[in-house]
Amino acid sequence: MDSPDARPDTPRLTAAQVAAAFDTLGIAPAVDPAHIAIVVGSQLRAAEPAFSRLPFDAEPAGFAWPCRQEASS
Amino acid sequence: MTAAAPAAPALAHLTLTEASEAIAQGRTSAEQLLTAALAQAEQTNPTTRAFLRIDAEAALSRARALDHARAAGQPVGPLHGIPLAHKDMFYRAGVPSSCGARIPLPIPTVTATVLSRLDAAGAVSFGVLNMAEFAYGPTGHNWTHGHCRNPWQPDYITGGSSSGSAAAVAARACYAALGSDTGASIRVPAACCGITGLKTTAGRVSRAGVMGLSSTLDTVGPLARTAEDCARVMQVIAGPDPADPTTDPAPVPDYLHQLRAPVAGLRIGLPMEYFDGPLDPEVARAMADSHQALRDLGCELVPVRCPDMDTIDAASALVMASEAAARHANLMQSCPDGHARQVAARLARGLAVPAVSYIQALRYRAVALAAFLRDVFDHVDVLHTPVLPILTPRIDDTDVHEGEALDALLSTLTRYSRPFNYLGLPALSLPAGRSTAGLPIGMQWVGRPHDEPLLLRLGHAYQAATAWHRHVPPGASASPSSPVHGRTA
Repeated sequence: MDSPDARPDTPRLTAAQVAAAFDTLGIAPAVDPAHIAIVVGSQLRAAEPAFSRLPFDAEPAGFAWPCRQEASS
Repeated sequence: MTAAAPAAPALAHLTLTEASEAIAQGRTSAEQLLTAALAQAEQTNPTTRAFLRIDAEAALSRARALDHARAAGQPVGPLHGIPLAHKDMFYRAGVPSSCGARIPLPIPTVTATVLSRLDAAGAVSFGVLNMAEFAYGPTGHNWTHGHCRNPWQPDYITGGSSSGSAAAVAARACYAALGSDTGASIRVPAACCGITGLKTTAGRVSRAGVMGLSSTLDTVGPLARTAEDCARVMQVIAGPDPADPTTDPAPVPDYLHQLRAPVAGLRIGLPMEYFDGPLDPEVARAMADSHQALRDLGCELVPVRCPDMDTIDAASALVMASEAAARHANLMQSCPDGHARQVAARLARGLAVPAVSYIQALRYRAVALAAFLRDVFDHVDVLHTPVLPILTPRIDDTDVHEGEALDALLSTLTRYSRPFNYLGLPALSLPAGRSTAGLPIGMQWVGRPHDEPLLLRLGHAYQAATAWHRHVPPGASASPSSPVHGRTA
């Protein structure tokens, strides 16, 4: 699973990249990095088209808590 | 006394609202209610494992003090003398909270704002409830403290992560309980156990002093036997909190008053995709019955097309994984065996999400909410969905730890609920039927931001016309057995 081209349906994350993330944080992998690459890769792939349309020049209102209402004066 | 005091088993089977009225009218006392709840807990807990700890003596002392205060004419709060218990992740200063974990955690130095508010309202907290480890599991499995078991049939899951909250309320061992919901954790247990649970709008209820899992997705809310009971708890716990800067400054509505408003003419949205299948035939039948019940109440059912829910679900998964992993990274470094295998497997995923993708998922949130409000709530007042596409599964069949089996389980159990944490919307889970195997089937109503009053009002009207919420699990029954049919008429 180290090559993005090996599985066209999981192009965005490789097992090597996952293993490197664990190594960077000093955490022993609890599960097979290849499986994490498949799961997270599929989520990234599903979200990417929407992410690619995010505006460059403005933070969407609300950001992390978009339901927030300011108190009326 | 205007009437004879009910016997203890009958007291335990009252709703929170009925118990409050009984106290207000002098027909019972805080001590009698607590005694009834303790007896019910003792009867049902060997089966359900809902309670991790019961503090009977301290609670009895508090109940007696509340009774003395009332007898002395002192002011009483809106939940005066009501026995409650909560998921074991709401901190009380000086008292250990397990958070469902195998490793001991630091003793809390603060008390959760929601507990302080319930205390001030006169509630009697008498125990702490089982939960998924660190609130990170949708089934109710807990490999350290014991799997919580469904009071309807103990071989079946309660749902999670607020497993004990749902099981204890369904077993009539407490009148309501607090839970948390990051992706499903109030709504799925409420559905599996046949009770009513409210996932609140992001920011509506303080999270100060509550164990965190996912900073921007976590919410706190009530699980109770009825929508009206949820409204009574919400009236106490909702509102801004200086200790939690993410709480919303919007004024707290009068939830109880708004329960009485009419529901005829409300537009109920039926999603045309994503939520419509494949459904288990018995779930589909229960949803169809609930549609008819809503028509009978004068509501208009309107097909709606939701925006891209698969993208929203994927973004939600990225946010939850990232935030949970960030919270647990230190623990994962210092204590490699500190988590159950399933929890460790889920946390590991978050370590693989690029920071850029996490930030993009946060930025997309407001965009997705705007699209959802436009496509759905420009046309309807409430979105109606199942909570689960399947019937409640067995504990043994869902005892999975990693790999594709875990992926399938998570996807199935959270697919209909998790997107609304990402969108921040309120959602009510309430019973809508029973399977041929005898287990409850739940439905979910989603509202606009801060539209909890509308969801609770509709729930109150639905429950006045149906009886699914009055069904009592066999092991908890001390009074006439459950009605055979859901409809009262």
